[in-house]
Amino acid sequence: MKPKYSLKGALISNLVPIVFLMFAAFAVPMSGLSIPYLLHEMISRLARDSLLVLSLVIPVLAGMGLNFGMVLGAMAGQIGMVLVVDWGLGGMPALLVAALLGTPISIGLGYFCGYILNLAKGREMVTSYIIGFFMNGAYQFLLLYCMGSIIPITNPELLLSRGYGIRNSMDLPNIRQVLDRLVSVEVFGMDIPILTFAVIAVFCLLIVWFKTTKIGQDMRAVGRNRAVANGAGIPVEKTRILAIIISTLIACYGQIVSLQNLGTINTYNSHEQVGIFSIAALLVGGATAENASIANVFVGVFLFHLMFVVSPMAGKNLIGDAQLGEYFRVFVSYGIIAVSLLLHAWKKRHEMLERRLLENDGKE
Amino acid sequence: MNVKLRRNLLRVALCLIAVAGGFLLSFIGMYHSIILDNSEFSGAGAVLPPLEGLRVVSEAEPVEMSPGDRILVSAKGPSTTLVFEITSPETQQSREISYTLHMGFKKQFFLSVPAIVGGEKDPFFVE
Repeated sequence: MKPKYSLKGALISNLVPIVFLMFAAFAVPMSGLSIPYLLHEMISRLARDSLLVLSLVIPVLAGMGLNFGMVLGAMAGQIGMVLVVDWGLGGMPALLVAALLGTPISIGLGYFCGYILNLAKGREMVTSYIIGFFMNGAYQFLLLYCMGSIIPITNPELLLSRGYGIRNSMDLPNIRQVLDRLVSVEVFGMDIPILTFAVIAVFCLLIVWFKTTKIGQDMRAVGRNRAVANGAGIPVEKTRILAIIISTLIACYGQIVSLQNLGTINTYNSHEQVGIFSIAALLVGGATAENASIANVFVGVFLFHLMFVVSPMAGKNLIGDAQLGEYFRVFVSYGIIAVSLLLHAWKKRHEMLERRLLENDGKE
Repeated sequence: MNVKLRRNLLRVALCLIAVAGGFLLSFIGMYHSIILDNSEFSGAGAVLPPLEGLRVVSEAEPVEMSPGDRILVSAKGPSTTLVFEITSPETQQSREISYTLHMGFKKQFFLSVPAIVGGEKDPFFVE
């Protein structure tokens, strides 16, 4: 039977994007920014970040919550980019080689992360967050001490003055926007990166197709109830590891797409920012720790970035201080993560209490 | 052939294809720096004077070079063709000389333009 549609239910389940839309409806006119400028910014930012946020969908399907461990994939992508820049590659081949280099690294890191998360079932989000910190140490060790000493780096411009270790920031002169500009069309003075959106569309289709496969169905079953899935003969742990590997791999490609759009690498910070940012964007799009769709990704990236662009100007025009608008945006955007995690914890606790009550009733 | 062996063979084949693909992409996507020098060149018993009215056409925008000039051009891929347009200051007659440089995986080249135009077999400067 088709579930009955209720306006109240729809409003409650889409409360976060509605709040953000209302905020945007207020902030956009206050900012004084023109609609064509905002559209141009949104298109550029959607192309830059959608793939990164898309990487979070599969772990949610497998019931592993929001994968803070996606930063591992971003690290793998950055390692690929650093090596590609050192080898003097440019253009599309550079992006493809970076992706080829990042693939085994992200598969390895994804397996490691998935294995650890299997040991910490029920606490995946906080565990993946801490794995991100742990691997950040390993990443810094690799880039600060191994590159230039153990791993040969031939381009002296990339190295620190001491002779080893990669510089804090790097330009990507022959890589900047190669994917965006390879196939693009100009509509009303706006460059639309067709190929980048095509790549994102391919990944969206892959995710949609993946959900219909046997492994995709297994993941859904594992996400609904691990015990039942185990009883049905689904290899729960293997399926969960696979979900994290796919997420890490997409995050690796997402980071490469994002960096080519920006044209610079903030060697020791870029990957740290993407985790929190992508999760906040997904939640702003209306996703929860138990349910995320492709639509949430695009709505989230759009609204989240709209806030990024309009808040400082709105703050400046309203209060006379751009920084205050920015503080408000940070407070609201990242507060969403806290509220979402709180609701998730509350719901889990509620479910556990209900289960205990049912068990007690059964015993009596 | 059992399934496990077939799977492993497939995995090894995929890895080899990825490595070969990476190698090929590196070959076609590599940027090279070419330093062109328009000063006197002496080699193989001949002394070649610098060229006047010289214009270099590479993958980037054409550049004019005076005697004693040294420019840096960048090129992508396994080989590149440099075109030297030389206009005689007296007769105003122009001639064009094409030079194809096979670069492989080497990052930097240091070439003498008078040597290339003079038909020297080895127009490279020793770094």
